[in-house]
Amino acid sequence: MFNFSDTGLRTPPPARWPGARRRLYLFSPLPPQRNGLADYIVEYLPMLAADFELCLVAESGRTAEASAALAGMRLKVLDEAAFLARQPEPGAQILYNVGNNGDCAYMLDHLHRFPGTVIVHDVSLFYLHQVALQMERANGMFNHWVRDTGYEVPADFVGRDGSLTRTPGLLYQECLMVRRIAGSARGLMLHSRYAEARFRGGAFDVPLGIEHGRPVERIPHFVLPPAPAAADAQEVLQRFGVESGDILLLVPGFLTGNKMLYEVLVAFARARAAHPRLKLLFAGEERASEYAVSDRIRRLWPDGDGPRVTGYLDARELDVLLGRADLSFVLRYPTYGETSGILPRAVMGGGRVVTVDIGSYPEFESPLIDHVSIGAGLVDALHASIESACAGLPSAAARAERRAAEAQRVESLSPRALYPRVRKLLDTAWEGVR
Amino acid sequence: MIDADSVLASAPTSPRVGLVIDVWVDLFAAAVARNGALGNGLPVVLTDTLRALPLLETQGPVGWIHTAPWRYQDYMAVAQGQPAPRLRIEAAGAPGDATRLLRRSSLCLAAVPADRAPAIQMAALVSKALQARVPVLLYGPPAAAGWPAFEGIIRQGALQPVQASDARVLASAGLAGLLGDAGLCDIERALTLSAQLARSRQADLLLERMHDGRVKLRLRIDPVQVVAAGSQTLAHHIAHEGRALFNSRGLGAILLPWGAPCQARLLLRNVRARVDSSAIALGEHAISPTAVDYTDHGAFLRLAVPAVAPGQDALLHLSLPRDAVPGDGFCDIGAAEFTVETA
Repeated sequence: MFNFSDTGLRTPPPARWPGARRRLYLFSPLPPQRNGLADYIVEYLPMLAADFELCLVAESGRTAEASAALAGMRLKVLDEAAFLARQPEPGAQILYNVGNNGDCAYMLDHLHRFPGTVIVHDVSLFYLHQVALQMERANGMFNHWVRDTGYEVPADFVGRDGSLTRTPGLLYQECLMVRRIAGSARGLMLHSRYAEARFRGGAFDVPLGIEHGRPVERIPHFVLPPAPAAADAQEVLQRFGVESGDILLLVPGFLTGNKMLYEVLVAFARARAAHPRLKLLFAGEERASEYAVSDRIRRLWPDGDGPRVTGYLDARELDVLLGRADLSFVLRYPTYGETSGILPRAVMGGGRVVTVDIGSYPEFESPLIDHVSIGAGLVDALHASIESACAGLPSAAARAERRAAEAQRVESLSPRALYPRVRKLLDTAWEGVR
Repeated sequence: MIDADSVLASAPTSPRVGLVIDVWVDLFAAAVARNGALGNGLPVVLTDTLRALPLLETQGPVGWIHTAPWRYQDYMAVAQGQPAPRLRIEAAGAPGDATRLLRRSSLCLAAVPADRAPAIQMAALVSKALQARVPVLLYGPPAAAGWPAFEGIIRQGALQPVQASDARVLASAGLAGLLGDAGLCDIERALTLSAQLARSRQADLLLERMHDGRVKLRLRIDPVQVVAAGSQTLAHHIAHEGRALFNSRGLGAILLPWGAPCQARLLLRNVRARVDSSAIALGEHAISPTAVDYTDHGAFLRLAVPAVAPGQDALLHLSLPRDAVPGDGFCDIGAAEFTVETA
């Protein structure tokens, strides 16, 4: 057992900054990393850079590429070593942009020692902690960490050295590993009612709120306006075999094991019998270790006339496809994240969207969204959605109208509209520390 | 970026005295401890930053009491055993432990903080040591903002000023007597200590009198005694493997002995690519290696390290290129050497 702990350290009182912009250190995955958190934070960078002396702390080894990707912006990109060498720096504030993925693992080395405001994108940070320990070759500490957070991993799943031998599914669904984050945070931002409720449940004994020096703000994930029509939209569509008369079904985003991919395939196969012009496109990078969708397609359509998998798409290509899709499937289950931006982005495309009725998904409302329940009737429900989309295909003009209406409706969710609330949270957290 | 030639001349002569005061305190305290002039109990250092006094530690365990939280785990090398965490206590978090340690100490060295708030807290601790009749040595740059907090106990404890060039040093009467007329910066005492430590193989310390009367110290030290872990996982690996490790991202930190401007030479082992482009930082300074020699043993990194700023931890942070870190192990520091010129 260590008598050294990287948790629960006091923050020294910050110096006052009369008239000066205070320094803000921001920890986040950064471009050009293929990470939604990098895409997320980029939208706020110009506004943060205007209000703060902004220093981005990139994961060690990624500083050069991030500096190049963000060249021209009024900010500095620092290596972790440079950040650490400046600490303690009582006159500076820190912001962490945390999600449940390995690109955030480096933040765990700093978040507890140098407390700051934390944007929590996922309310289970189980995988993040697991990956962080794997990267540091310290798997044996996992059971100890889970215990720290107030839970107990069933003995059957724990190795003799304390490592997790396999993932207990039920455990994964709990709001794990958020308690330590909450305990160290000096301010918290969550995106939805669902996430806030789950987070509070996970951090069951950590006093939250301004009065406890941990202001909590619920600030929705922003929605970007529809992308302007790409000049090469036709080329992109042709590259993926989409023709003008096709009815396009789209599964956007990383093709992970929890996107109901098999159910979509089955529903598509049923509907296609009646609608030969139906095309299904899996618009994202395949995670074959979680679900081998390409292999499954080859087995179901051995002649090669089945759905296609595009591989990783950049934002522009994805927007072209979302703008063309007649029906998109956003079906992450189980889900502990937020809407992750893909749901509103799909809606901005103007086509219909099917999503699950769990987690934070029902909180994003639009007349273009159909909700389906996970369970035995899922395939039937998806089939019905496809039929409905086929029956009500809008004209190009009607679709443009839909897009314009959606854009107007979500104007209040643009990064610029939401930023004052982000700034207010940072100021409140800062005042709390002072 | 810092270059080699500018480091030792980075500060004019008089302020440099303040920067190397740790060196003289270490030499004196080690000499006193070695000569059996201390009673039972540990020497205790009061500080608000992360520091090391490696010569004093050659004479046995030293207790560290901090008036501000410290954020890194560092180690004592234990003969025939795994490294043990260095004994550090945060006074605010464990006031009882801090008081007990102080009252039973054989010597109290107090580094006057650069800020007033920690100085007030430290002065209260020094007062407890004086009440327990523990010999006390206060030291720091004369301009340190913490001095006013100590004026009361300097009068009450009848602490006597000690000759220490431009640094301000005060000591209990008994200690002042041991210091003698030459005061803290006694070169003869330092040379004698160096010879004693070398003879008894307690430290690989070479002292060399320079033509202008200054002294050059070259200390070779077990890297485990200066490595600092910034996370539980790295602390675990260092304690388990007994090596001065970098983490899997190539990130590591070492505690500079004394905090004075120095030339450092580090042997980086198990590196799988060139490390010339490593990011190295001390405070606001980004440091480039003055030379990197690649050998069969590893890469020898030569650095010109500027003085540690007041109020800052004496931690040098290194970030190795990612391709230098093996996929199935860690890089480590296999040897460390520091050269300091005293005023």
